[in-house]
Amino acid sequence: MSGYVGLGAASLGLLLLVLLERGQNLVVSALILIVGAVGLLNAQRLAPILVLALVTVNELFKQFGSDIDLDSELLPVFRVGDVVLCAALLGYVAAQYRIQGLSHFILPADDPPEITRNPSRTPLPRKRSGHSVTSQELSLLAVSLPFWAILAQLVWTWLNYPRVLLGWDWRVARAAVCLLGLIACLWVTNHVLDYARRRRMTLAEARLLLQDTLWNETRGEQRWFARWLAWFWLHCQSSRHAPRDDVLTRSVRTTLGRKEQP
Amino acid sequence: MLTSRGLAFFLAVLLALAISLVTSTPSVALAGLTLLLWFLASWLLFQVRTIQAHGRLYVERRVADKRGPVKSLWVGRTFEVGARLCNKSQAALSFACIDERLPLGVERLDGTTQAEGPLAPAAPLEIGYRIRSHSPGSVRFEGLTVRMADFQGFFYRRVFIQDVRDFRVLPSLTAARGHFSTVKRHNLLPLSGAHRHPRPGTGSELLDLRDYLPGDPPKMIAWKASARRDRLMTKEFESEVPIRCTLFVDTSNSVRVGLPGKNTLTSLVNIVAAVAQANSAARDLTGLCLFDEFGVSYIKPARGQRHLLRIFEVLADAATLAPTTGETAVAQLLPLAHRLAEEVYPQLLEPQVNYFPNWLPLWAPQAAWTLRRPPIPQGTPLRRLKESARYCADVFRQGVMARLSAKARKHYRWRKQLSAILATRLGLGPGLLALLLEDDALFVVELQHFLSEHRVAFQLPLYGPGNEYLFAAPRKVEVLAAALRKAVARGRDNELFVLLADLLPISDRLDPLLAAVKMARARHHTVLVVCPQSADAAPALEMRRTFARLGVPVTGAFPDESIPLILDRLERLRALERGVR
Repeated sequence: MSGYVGLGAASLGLLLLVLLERGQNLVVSALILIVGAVGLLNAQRLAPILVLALVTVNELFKQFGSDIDLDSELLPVFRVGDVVLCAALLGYVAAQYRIQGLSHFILPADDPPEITRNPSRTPLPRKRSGHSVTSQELSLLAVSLPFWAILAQLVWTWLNYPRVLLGWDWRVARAAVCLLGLIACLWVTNHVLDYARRRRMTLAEARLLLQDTLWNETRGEQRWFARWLAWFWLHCQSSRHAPRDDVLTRSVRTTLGRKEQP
Repeated sequence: MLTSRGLAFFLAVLLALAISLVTSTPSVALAGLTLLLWFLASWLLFQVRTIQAHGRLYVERRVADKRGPVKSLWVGRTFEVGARLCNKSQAALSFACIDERLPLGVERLDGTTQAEGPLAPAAPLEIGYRIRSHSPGSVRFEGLTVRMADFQGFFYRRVFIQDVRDFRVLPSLTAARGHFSTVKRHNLLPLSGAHRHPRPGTGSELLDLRDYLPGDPPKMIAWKASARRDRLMTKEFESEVPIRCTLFVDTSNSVRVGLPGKNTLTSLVNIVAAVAQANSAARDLTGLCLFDEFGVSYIKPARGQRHLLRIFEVLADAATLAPTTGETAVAQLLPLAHRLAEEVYPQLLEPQVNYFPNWLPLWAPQAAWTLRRPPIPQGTPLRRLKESARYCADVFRQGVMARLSAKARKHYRWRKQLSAILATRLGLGPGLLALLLEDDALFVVELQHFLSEHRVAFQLPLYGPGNEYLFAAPRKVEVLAAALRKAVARGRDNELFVLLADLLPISDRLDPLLAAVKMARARHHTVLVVCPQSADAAPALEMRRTFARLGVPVTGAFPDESIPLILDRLERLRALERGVR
């Protein structure tokens, strides 16, 4: 866990340096530092979102407090400061969530019901143990941080490409393109994954899927037939004055061919 | 599945991105895009890894004692269980937590049933623990629950890797009460009117001395007697005639009622195991006949370790039988069965393979005329009116409430999903699925089989709507009588027939059995009845008197009482066979 604390602290320090270098408000920077540091040390669950919110609010105040021309800001300029800011923020967020997985929980409360369980079993663990953390995953995260920041720069460049969409304002058009792009990506990816999932089906799942498809196709006819059969068995019971089990068990045995022991 | 943590983060990032896009704040937009891209890439990676691993995870299990792997367990002994989850896919799971579904009926002594860590092809996850079982039956290891997540805890998936292994739990071999007395009985007097019937054999009791004949083994020479008489004398020993004991064990629903491992059937199995073990130690022959209301399963009397082991295996299988009745309410078993399916078959409940149209409860709920109603004696107009009113209430409930109630809709969905799983397991396709959706009695019986197969205890009603006892199983008397007659026909010498049956609920229908017992007694066989209930209870006294008139003792199914009685009867028979006819 100390590795992630170190990564988070380094990212937080880098974030503050970038903010100070940009001439940000010292109070807000100190607030970000306090929230981030407390979040790191205590593994506060809301710390990543709070840091993101503070950075956002800080940037918004800076945007509205200055008389920057929005059109000039829209130019797709690759700035090192932005890349460092993004990488530092991502590093802090990722480290913080991984620390939460180690100290609070990584698995949600999805325990199977206790009613079907052996009483001598131990309760399910929800957090990750510290000894399972490898240096490989830590270094991989640290190395990948600039990649995501640069990729975001490329996407931002593509988003800022001047386009006309239904005569809308350019900001609305950009937001719409971003939203549609996200939805389209998720939709296509989801279907590709569904296809891959079907190809990986086990025999039991495939059999159930086939049976379910056939049942869906013939549901109405099967329902009427099953209802008359159920009524027939009820009628047999009442007319013969026999216990339900006798009629039922005989029917089930002949229908299902079940062989019980002995 | 997106966890609450992942959802909160995703929404926060989307919000920040949306604000930055609207307000044209490039730094925040870049930060938001960075976080969003990283989040989506994590999701994609997690999905690809879980899909790659799907169907390629398997369990290697080993159950062993100190001498090595075993195929059966024994009551009271400790066994080590080791399980390993292997991954034969190319992709490694970044974080997986495995959890053994510990079978019911065993006690975990030490060790761990959980393990966690990355699951790579070359690095399986392993667990190991020690168990002990306290009652005969069987232990079913279902498999391992695998919970997968990414490092951040944004995404999560739970699967169950099936690895069904059934191990019989054989009755204990070291029953202290299951041994004959080793005190010699020299003073047995022949009964009046009986004649000595000495037969030379290979027993341990001295029968006579005779002149030595060429070919007699030297170790049989009585040296002192030879010295006194000045000629070689040979010892002759009594013959040890083996006693045949046939145990008739009731396995009908009436003895299955109760918690697995703590019901009457378990007591009967323990008694039979102790008696069989004692017989085997005395080189007697033991037969076994399991019966219920539908038929019998017979094992011929024999002796030897292999035969004893076979009896134990049959008894262990019988001890796992669970009661079933179609009179159980669907709502009583449905939640339990669905939870079990969620635990053991989570993949088969996913909507991709087990689809449930949400509009189906609105369109076609279960029809009122297929519902079970308690029988009302016909005849008077008032009762007919009651029946009509009850039918109208059912029509209203199924026509209105079943369409609108959220609970009814949920139960309908559960029922469809479970019916689909049951139909697949039985291999009968959509026909059975449709039938299970409409027929309550068939559905609950199948649910009971499903639950008992997975060793899950469930409650059953003991009395039906007409206040009748549901598990009396009256037809078993005829089955038992037929089995006893057949055993008597097969019998050779004086034999012992022990009837371990729950006869009390049907004590007024014992005529076929009494006739068969009379026949056995007429052929000089000994019959003993072991009743699960106390033989001193008030309702049992009448039955006890009935059997006593035929010379048949009745005892309760308590190990301290019944095992010595059975062994005493065997000892008496042995004494008779040895010396008295």
